[in-house]
Amino acid sequence: MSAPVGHRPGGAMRASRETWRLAWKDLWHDRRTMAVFVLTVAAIVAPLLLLLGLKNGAITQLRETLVSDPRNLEVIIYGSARLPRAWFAEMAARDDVSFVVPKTRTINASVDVLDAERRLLPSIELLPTGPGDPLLPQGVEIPPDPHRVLVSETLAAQLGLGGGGRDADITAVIKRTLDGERQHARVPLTVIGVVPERHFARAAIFAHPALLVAAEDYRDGTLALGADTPIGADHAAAREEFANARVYARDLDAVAPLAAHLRAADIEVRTQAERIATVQALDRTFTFLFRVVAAIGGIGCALALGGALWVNADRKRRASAMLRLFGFGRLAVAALPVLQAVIVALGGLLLALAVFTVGAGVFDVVLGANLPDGGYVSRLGWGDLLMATAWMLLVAVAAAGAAAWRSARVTPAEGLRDVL
Amino acid sequence: MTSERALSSVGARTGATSGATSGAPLLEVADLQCRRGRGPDAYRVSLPRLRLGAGDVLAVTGASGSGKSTLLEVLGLVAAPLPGARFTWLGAGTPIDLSALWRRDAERGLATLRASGIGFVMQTGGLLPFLTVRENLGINRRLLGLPETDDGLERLVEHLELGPLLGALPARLSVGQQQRASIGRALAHRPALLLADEPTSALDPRLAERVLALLLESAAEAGTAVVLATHEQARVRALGLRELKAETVELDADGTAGAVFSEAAA
Repeated sequence: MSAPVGHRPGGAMRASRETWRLAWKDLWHDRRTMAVFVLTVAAIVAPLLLLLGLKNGAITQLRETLVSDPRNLEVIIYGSARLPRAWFAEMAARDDVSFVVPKTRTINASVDVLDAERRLLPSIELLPTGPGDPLLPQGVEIPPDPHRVLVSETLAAQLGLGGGGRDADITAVIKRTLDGERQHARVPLTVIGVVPERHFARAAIFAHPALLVAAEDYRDGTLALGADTPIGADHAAAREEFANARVYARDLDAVAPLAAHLRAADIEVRTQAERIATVQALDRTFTFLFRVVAAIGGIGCALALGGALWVNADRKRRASAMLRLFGFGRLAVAALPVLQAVIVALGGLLLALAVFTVGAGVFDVVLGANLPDGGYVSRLGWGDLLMATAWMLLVAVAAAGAAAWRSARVTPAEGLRDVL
Repeated sequence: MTSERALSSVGARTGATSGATSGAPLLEVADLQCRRGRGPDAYRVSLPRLRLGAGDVLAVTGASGSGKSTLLEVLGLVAAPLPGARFTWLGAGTPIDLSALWRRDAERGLATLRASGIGFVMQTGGLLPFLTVRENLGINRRLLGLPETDDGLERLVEHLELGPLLGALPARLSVGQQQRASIGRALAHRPALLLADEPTSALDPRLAERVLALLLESAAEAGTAVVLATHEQARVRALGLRELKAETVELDADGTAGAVFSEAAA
């Protein structure tokens, strides 16, 4: 015999289409059982998706915070150094430096502030600034002289400045003890702008470097300050050396080399390198934890689904035997539980995604309030969905293995006997 | 048609053809044997000779446990004959050596031949519980790529009075309705051979007579040969059917118990 009787072109295609159809019809006929299978799968997969979403959300959020926060670009100089004018010129010329401005000793980098109602706010941080300061929002007016300053939103609130705080008059009070006598100087300041909280959270004044130098000189006893003796914008020009500096790298990658360069010059520095490393370590740890939980969930899912399919295949061996008797191949009959597992797994995955969507929405509403604007708590990308689908199909096929083997062992002769 | 009339018409037809093949040769068997079990439990079923023609009706009779079902399994290509048999299918233009197919373990070839050439009616039901009657009727047709329905199938449905039941699932049918649907399913793709294993044993006698008549009429209408296993010898004789009768052999030359099926004289 050259070809089996009844074997026509397209026979395999017809048989496989018919097998899909039978798999679906059988599942649908037993839809309560199918619903239980689908719920079982969804009950295992939905928490995994939520966990993955949370992990992704948290890590992405941390990464974006790192990248978007210019403080992570800062190379902080520890303690007091002796930084000559030439050093600042050299730093400003470097490719990997985006901003550098002289700073005084930390102890002199704060002043007390009197508001319009003459209430005193003690020890407000004083930051030297200049054009290109990465902490300031784009387009903000840079203080052109020592008497005009920017205040942070927090300080503006403490000072009770309304209407954006523009043109409000405040007074900086600088104290010193000279020859055993306590003295103070009042420096009138005009607020020319407010730095939003998301750019700088603490109460602070962004000032022309000359104000800091003048304050330091006053405290050191080398300068007399009064309400009627304005500080010149060129007051710092006479200084040959500064105790500190605000230095910012071009980007995250430039932070470490720049810090290394400064350390090589015996300047003790600190960066947020450990924060970057921490996020990377967290990512690795979370990913590992997720994989362990997902593996346990996946094995559980495969066992639960596999057991149910095995029982189902055993219960339906008469139908399998009849199909064999009618001429369906061993492979087609074995494929039935596999196709059913695939249908159940995809159904379970869809349901789990629906649960995830609701759960992620709840997380974003409840927990998202703690995040800066545009933040999200839970997130799944297309890649994650593809991966989840691929794993789900793999688990389904693995789970159906035993049932397929059981079905494949049914002989057509069993269909003819009524003993089953 | 009343069952009495149905039976008398079947009796007339089968009576006229009993004892000899009527149509083109369909199945030729010589020295066919099949063994079941091992050791002291082994049981051998022998069919020394059989010629079956298109449209023939043959009753296989014998006591319970005599091996009728085993014989049907061999004829239905689901149990392997022992080597040495001549077992040829002649219903497909060129003869097909079934013994050779079994020797080659050609599962697919046997399955395709079963799908296209043979219909089965089981003792009870035999319908797939998750398919409607219509879908059950169509299962072999779909597998063979035949159109969903044709005139022959419509006549069959009408004859078996299945029209109102087509949309129902088997669980909602009575036993008699299930057997009618089962007959419909076995004949829907117009196989050359119908194998029926005690198709009426689960029915009460009046219903059994009616269902048997419908089976034989429908098969005659489709031109399908019938091999019918039954323990009801009296009914077979009343219908004047060709009879293949089991004779129990206590111990044969190998010391194996079994049965030999041979055609009773007309």
